[in-house]
Amino acid sequence: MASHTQLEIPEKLTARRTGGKLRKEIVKHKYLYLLLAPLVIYYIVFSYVPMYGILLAFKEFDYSKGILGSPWNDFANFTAVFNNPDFWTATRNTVLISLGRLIIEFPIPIVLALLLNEISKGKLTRIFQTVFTFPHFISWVVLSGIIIGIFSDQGLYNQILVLFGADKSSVLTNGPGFTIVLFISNIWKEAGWSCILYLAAIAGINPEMYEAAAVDGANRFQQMRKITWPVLKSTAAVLFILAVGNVMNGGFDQIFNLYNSAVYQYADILDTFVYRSAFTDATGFGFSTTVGLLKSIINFALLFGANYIVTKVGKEEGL
Amino acid sequence: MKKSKQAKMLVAVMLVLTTVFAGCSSNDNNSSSSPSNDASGSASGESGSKHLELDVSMMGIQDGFDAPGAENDVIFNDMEKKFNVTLKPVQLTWNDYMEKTKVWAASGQLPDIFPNVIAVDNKALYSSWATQGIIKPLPDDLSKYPTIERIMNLPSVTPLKVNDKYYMVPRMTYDDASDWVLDRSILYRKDWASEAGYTSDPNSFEEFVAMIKAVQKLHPGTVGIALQNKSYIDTQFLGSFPEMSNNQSWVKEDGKWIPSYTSKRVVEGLQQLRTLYNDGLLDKDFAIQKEGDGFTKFLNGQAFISYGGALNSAANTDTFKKANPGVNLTDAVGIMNIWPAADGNRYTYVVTPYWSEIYFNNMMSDEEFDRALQLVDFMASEEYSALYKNGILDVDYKIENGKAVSLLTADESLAQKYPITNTINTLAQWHGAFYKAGKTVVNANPDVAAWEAVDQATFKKFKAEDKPAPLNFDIMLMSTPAKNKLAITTLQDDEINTIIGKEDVSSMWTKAVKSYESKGLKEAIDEVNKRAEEMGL
Repeated sequence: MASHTQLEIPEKLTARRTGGKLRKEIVKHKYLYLLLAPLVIYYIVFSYVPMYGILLAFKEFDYSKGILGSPWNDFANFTAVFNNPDFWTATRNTVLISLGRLIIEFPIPIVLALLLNEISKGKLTRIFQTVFTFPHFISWVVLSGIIIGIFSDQGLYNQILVLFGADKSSVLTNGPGFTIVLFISNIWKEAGWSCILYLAAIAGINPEMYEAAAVDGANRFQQMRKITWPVLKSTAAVLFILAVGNVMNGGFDQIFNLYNSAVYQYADILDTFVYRSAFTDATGFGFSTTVGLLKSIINFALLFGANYIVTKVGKEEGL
Repeated sequence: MKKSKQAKMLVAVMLVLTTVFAGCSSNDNNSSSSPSNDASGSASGESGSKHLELDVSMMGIQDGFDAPGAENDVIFNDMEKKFNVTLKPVQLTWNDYMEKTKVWAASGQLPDIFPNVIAVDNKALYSSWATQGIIKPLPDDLSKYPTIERIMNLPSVTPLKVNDKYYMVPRMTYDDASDWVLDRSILYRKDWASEAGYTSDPNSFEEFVAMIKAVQKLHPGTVGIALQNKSYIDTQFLGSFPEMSNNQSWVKEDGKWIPSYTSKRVVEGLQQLRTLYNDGLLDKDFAIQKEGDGFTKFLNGQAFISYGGALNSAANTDTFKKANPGVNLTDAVGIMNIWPAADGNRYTYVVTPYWSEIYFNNMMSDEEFDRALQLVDFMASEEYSALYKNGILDVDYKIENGKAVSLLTADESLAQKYPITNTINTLAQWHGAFYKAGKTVVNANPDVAAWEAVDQATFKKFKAEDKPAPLNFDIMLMSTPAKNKLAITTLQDDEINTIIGKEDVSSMWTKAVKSYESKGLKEAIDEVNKRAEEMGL
């Protein structure tokens, strides 16, 4: 009956009532909204208004006419992008490298957090935490120099190979070798930092639960499985969704500083491809914008897909 | 009352959005301002007739204006007075010079005068800016600007006309395309070569290989050939296919113009490089090194040969001295003359005598444009080179036995005395011709001075003995739609992959060239040949 009455209310009236409610709400908390205003304006001005630049993907940019005045070009930029084999190589590499990051790199901080939690508390934990976290603060510019030095012809890696009677190997000009270095160096740099969130979640667990479990005869592994993991699970789910949101990024800083022309076939991701095509271009703004737009669309679909799956599988988890 | 508040709010929001859009969009005046055909005509008055302000953007220009003592830069102040202008610096940096300029162009905020690398490197953009009215065309009659007129009549410049007009002035490095004699220099330790029994330049690739092997035997653990940067790998082609030493060149084969890199003649040079790499004579790290790393190895006594690199700075000569104690630089280092190609000639590298250009905002008035051209004409002249390189005659230097000799004390330098000139001096040219002609003041650092003497003498020797690589600028600089879009950005990568690869060199290169077809190679060749036929080339 109630729903029947509600249906009879004209649409305009409902809108007016909702609008009135909103106005009342704003007036009531006007100072809070005033505090929020600069942030909202900031986002509108610097994040939403410039989005009209996406139009460049559909236009033949004319410098004298600007973005809005330039003529439409019947998806010519999309045709150029799709016909460029380097774009497909970069897309393939982006997906593969990012999947590798999800499968290989994503679980490492979780394992690290669980292990750090298992070693006895005190100075040792802190030392380990510092050791693992420290590399995060070294920039890729510096780190790439160190890595290139290690794997150069006269570098440490080849010196060791020679010491054991093996032939020298040029790891960084060899596609598969480069990919392994890519993953290992990123784990070394970021795993410690990423595990902080998991450690924070673990710190929130009531120690009495472990004590009770111990009294019930649960060993350390069973405690980890039945107490620690369920708490970590939701944090991991959220971080997983965020990681999927980053799938198409693939780690520009690391790859740009570390790669070389011999491994473009394996390591050129969409971001590095856009960067290079934007700077060496005969392609113009439209080409780079189109690649960026395509990247965002795929990313958007992946993000919502991952969130959907996580909410379906783990009910209360997800964003 | 409420409605009026709402209206005010709406107006405020619209104002904010309009401001933002206006800032992001281009200036419509720009599109409507048609290029002037006769700037000189309207600027008939003397340069001092009316004081003008001109915006000038250059990399690091602000640093000069901010430097201590900038206001006392007599050379700069005299120049402003001479042309009755005030130059306003607009800062650019190495890493944003291209995209910042593009954004300025898109938003109608280009400075009045700005150098950039467009006409040769990005013909599509140059042509767009010219036809879209972004940059100003030069007047037809350039007799009022004699230096500019001389430059614009060079054969390496004339192909840059768009619709029969020039839209830039090249920033000359040298007076002529053939002056890049030492730009792909092969620096080598002639003392090491001499130790190994090689006292003259190699006469063939085989002799070159034998020389490196002999030196490496005496200096185990050293690199044979190091590279200043990856692009210097093309130096190798000077001894087999000289046109390919400049990989933007085109050659005529079987009656058809094709890009040099598609020629079968490329394979010989690539095969030589593969041999050098496989035999451990070419630096194994060349593909992963950053710019300058290879040359540093040479300076540090870790490499026998360096393709590229320069010793004309105190920093480099000092590095060499520290790493090689007791070794005299000019006794130890020489510049190798490349071995003869199949036709018996030794060739030198060739490119346009400029590699960047100076542009003018199309929104400038004709009077401003005239003044800007007068300024550029002066800064491109030898008179200005002398001022920048040597300072003021009888104040900073004197002429003694035909040589410019410094009058500065040990704690003085031209850079400190004239800080703005020190940053703005390359606005219109790079002073290479003035230096190579030996007209610069004798360097206060004896090591640098000694090397400069070697450099200048070798320049003269190679100019006399060698031949410039036969490049056709009409074809190389030709602008056609498909050729403009043909950016083979993977060319150098493909060369590197072929050199370090395991498969047969010839089949690897054929595969690489085949992949360029999807990037418009065939269309570009067709268009160029059609145009070349029309031009009778």
